[in-house]
Amino acid sequence: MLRRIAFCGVFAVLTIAGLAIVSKGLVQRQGSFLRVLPPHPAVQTGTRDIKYSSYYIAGVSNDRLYLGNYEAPLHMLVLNKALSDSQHVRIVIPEVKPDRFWSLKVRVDSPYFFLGDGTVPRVYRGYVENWRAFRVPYDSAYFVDFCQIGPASIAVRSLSSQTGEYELGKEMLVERDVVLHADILERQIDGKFCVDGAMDFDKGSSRLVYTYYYRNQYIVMDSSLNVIARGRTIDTVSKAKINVATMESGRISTMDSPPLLVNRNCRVDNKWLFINSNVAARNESPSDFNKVSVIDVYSLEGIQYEFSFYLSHFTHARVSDFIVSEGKLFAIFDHYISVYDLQPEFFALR
Amino acid sequence: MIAGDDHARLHLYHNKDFSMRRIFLEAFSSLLVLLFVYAAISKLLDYQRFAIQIGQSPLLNGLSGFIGPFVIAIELVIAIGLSMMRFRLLSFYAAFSLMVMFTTYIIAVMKLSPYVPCSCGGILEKMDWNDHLIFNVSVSVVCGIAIVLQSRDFGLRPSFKS
Repeated sequence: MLRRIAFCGVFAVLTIAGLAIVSKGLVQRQGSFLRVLPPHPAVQTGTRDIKYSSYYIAGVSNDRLYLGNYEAPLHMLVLNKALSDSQHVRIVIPEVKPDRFWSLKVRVDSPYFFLGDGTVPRVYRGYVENWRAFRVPYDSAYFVDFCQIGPASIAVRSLSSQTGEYELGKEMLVERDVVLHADILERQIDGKFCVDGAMDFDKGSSRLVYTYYYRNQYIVMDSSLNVIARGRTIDTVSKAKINVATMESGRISTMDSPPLLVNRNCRVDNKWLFINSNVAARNESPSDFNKVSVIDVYSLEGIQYEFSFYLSHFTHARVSDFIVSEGKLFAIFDHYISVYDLQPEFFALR
Repeated sequence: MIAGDDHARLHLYHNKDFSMRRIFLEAFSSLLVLLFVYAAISKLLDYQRFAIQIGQSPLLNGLSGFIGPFVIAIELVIAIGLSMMRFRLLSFYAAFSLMVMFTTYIIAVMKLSPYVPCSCGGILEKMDWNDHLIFNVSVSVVCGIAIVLQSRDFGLRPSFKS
């Protein structure tokens, strides 16, 4: 009888284990392309324990790095670029209860910082000197994500009221002017999940780059959101490998199978585009690939791939956010932040 | 095993022996029936959501066509079996196997995938994963104990078949 119990137990475990092995083989996170991996374009020079895993990078200035926090949206951590000094800051929005917000995100563009919640919608702006935020005169556009373009304007990703699909647009904050461009994001499957992506703006070259999460394309735009170029990332996923299902007669749409995430995050700095990719190349082994976060570097002058480098995982955690500024790359791994020197010979402007 | 003990079992059924073991078996049997019926019905009532969660699971989305109805059916069949003395022991074995499968699934998904959808139905979904694991392991262990006790219960009474 005990033998029967043991047999049942082992049978049950083996069934699930077999399922796990079979389904592992079905997930392809490896493509047929090649990565160029020169030796050490990025050299780690420092690490700091920032105690919480819920930080993201809100921005960087000449001498400071600004971290926002998903769990405490009004809390900022300000670090110097050597990561040796830190300061905790609380943003104050005079006369507003902080619990009125759904999804508050901070973007810093020294000397200003922007606080935005596109679901209300509300946009606040303040000076980095004193961290007091005031509501901007015009913030009527609903958005899902935003990115500062200048002292008085932001790029937004919003849901179009006509098509129900995502569109990129520009909102002016001190005058009434919102323009959504329906032709920037190109729908492949459903117009929402299939065009999902990350955007970043570089002040120096005045370029806004949007990188799709699920396909191998990035879009380079100027500060008025005119499309300058559409670049291809090196992987081969040109059609988003996602399945979208709807529930409650179309009110809710969600993923129907685990999606193939192609690009995790992107950052722009001075004509270089950095993309944290999720797909292994043919010349990388999948088991080693899982121990690093790879950054693919593209030049925005030639709209082409240049090379890649690895950021080794810290305590088994991959990069959750990163930013590049003035030859340094800052990356957050779980509750640590690291700084890397980018070797000038690789990043010389041509 | 089943056919030979029929007389013994009928004798047991009318026997008014309220031992601790008997009380435990009846109580646990009822609780298991409750658990499985609750899980099955709450999956059935929000079937669309359940089907999508199966699809989102990295382990199960290969079987997504058939595993949804299959799990619901198995849960109901076990619940019915538990309530019939004739099939109670068999149902305890089946319940034990199923609970071990669920437990292994939780461990496999926790280790292998960053995104872990829970497809248990109802308030079971509101548990966080560690609690869920403890719950599943406990129920599996108690099922194992029930098998031992139920087998002893049946085996203890001598057969009255002449």
